[in-house]
Amino acid sequence: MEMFDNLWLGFSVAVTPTNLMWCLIGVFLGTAIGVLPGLGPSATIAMLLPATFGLEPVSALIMMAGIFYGAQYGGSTTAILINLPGEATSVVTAIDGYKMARNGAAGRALAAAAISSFVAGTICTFLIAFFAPPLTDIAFKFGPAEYFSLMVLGLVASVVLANGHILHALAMIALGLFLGLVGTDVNSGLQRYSFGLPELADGLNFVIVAMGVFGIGEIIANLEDEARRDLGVAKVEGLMLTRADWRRIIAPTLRGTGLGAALGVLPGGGAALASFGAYALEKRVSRNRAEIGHGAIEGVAAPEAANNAGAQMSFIPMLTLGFPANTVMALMIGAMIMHGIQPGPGVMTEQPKLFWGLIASMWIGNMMLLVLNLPLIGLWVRMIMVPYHYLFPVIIVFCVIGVFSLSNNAFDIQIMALFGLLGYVFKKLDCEPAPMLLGFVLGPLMEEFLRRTLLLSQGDPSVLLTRPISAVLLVIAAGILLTVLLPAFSRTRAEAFRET
Amino acid sequence: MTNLTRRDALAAAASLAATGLGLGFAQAQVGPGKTLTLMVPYPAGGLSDAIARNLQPTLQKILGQTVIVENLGGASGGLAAQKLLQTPADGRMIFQGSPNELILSPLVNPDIKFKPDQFRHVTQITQNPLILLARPDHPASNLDELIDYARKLGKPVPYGSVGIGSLYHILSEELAKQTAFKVTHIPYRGAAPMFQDLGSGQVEFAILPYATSYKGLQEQKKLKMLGWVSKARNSFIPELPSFGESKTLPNFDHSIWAGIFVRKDTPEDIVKALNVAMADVMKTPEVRTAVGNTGSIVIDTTPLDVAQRFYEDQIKTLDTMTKDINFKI
Repeated sequence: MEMFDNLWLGFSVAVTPTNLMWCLIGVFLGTAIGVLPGLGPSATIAMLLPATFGLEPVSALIMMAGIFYGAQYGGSTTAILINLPGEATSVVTAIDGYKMARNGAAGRALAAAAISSFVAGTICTFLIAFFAPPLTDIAFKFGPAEYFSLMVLGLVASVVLANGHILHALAMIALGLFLGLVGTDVNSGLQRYSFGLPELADGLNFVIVAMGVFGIGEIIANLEDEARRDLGVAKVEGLMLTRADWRRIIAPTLRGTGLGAALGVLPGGGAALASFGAYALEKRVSRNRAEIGHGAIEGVAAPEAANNAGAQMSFIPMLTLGFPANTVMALMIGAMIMHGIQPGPGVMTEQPKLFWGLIASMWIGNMMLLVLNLPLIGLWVRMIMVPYHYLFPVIIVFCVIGVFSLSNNAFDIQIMALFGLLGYVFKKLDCEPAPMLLGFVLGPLMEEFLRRTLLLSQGDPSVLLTRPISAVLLVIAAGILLTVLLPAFSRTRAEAFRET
Repeated sequence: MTNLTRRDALAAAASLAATGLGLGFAQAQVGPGKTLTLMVPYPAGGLSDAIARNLQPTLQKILGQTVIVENLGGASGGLAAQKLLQTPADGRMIFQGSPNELILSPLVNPDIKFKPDQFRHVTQITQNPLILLARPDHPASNLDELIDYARKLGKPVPYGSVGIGSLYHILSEELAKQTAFKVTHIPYRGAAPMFQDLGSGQVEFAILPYATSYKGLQEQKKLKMLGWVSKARNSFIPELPSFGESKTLPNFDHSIWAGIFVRKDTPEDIVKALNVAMADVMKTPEVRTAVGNTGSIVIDTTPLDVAQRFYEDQIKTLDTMTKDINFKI
């Protein structure tokens, strides 16, 4: 079995004391920066890139990879504890995770996140090891038309994200789409809604918007209401999962892993959909779907599994073709170039030690993360027991530092403050910010892919239906839309009749 | 860079230590301060960042000053160029730039407020040969066949570029204009998504700087190389024909290059010192190997007047070309 020889080679590289050490340093740093709001993996890796010059290339890549998936673990911690998602992928974790934390179940939420992430990471490591080359080809089946239809499906599915009124959800999605318009238009190069500010030429930064509407908005709301303030402290039940919890998270974790893995293979923005998609899926198929949105453990396990699976799978196009699926992958390619390794299809055959060593290290790293994170849960939970008047200034300071670190620009801090106020207004209006953020992420992608589709088809929109993958995705989207809208309509009609 | 404050502190500590030891020897000091910023107009991890990181240690050694690489991406390099113009003209911030952000952006984009002549070209450092790529199953195998194919297609040929107003966009338009066929420009945000659509045959061709991964990608049937966009073949892939050998466009000869720039009103002695220092840096064997590994050709640095003339020539060429194809955002 050649594959086992390869994996054996990989493990022999990954378990050398030096590489184990770099792996540990990577996942530890990753967890730490994931917990610090704003400071994301790409900023950290960019910072450390020059320092990796002296290392063996494989050690450098093992450490960087560790930072990347370690941050996926850490990012969910702040989302759950203080409603502060540091990455697009942990936005939905914040919905149920934060509610669980407020109900005193922070420990169980964190444990569920860690365990489902580990399961997803393990499955995906083996998927990459066995199927990386064939999976690479799937990416080429997805042209602009397919991506557009996939985004439509994601957007339609996101309507179910909302717990409140469907009209609020639609309004928030639309607002997100509009915010996504800010910046330079790819097709014409024109600036849209940038008001002549060069800082807005590349659009609004997701991290800044998310930290504003979630983190800062939540703080303002908490400060206003004395009863809300120290709720997280009130009661903390068990830190570990109960037997019932275990039973409840198995299926969502596997479903999330499957969806995340499938979307993560697509380099053109599939990973952004993974956690949203997994959450939406649970809301439709889970046995406890009624609880989701009100602090259900499934609402934490599924998206966490999905985002970790998506993150892991995004290594595939980078390793097999040298195509970066996100900024972190671009940095890893940069690191390879600096170490004199030519990224591209040759890496697998010319650098088998590097290729398989990196893959083997991912599994080891995931295990380290689990061992590292489970005991930390007690510490994190104690963190939110700090009186709020000490906690909130610290959160704000870290948010400001994190945002400033993105591009050394004070302008970004002002933008975050603005969105913080906006987040507070949303709370007052009973509008949930998660659909807005999905719209914000998907809007620009949808526009780009739709316009590219139409450029390629000379303006003929029928390609969206004549290309089979695209057609199937659109039909599913239409189906979901019907099942969501019809009951809503019949309900309003029923209510209307009752009143007359 | 992201941890600027810490690095600044380190730099300050280093310079304090130096003065403390009385090491104020009169080397080619640039500017009154001891810390030099090498500004890279793109985020960390890209090609220009890789080049800068390879220059930094040697430049630091030769100048005897701390050199910090700062990455400031945004507005296709425009943000960084603007920042350079906002700092004092004392040579403490040097800019590693290319015609893409310094010449083309202001030419085609009315929102860019600076002009190419606000920068002083210290020296050229690298050159990247350009290559014409096509979808992997393309019937053409060289430039002439591509043009023949395009003329017979009967509809505009879709081609990809890494962004509107980029050199590769302008060159593709110019190529189509000179050989009289119709094209549709499909702009992308960067090369990775474009390679995907090239690989699946959605776009027909693209002009891009050479990268070492192309050979492997061609073997994997993800793209097809049609020729060097230059008069002569390039030693990176000597078996690939050049435009010079074609019947249709034997004089179509372009490349992308990078150089070191400062503000135009920087004092002459500082510019000279930088020019001399860069010449030494680019002669160092480690730098040559490391920069060569990125797929770039190391260019022997030139005296200041040659550098300036070269820069002015480039401005003229690109100005004519953008006017020629009547391109304006």
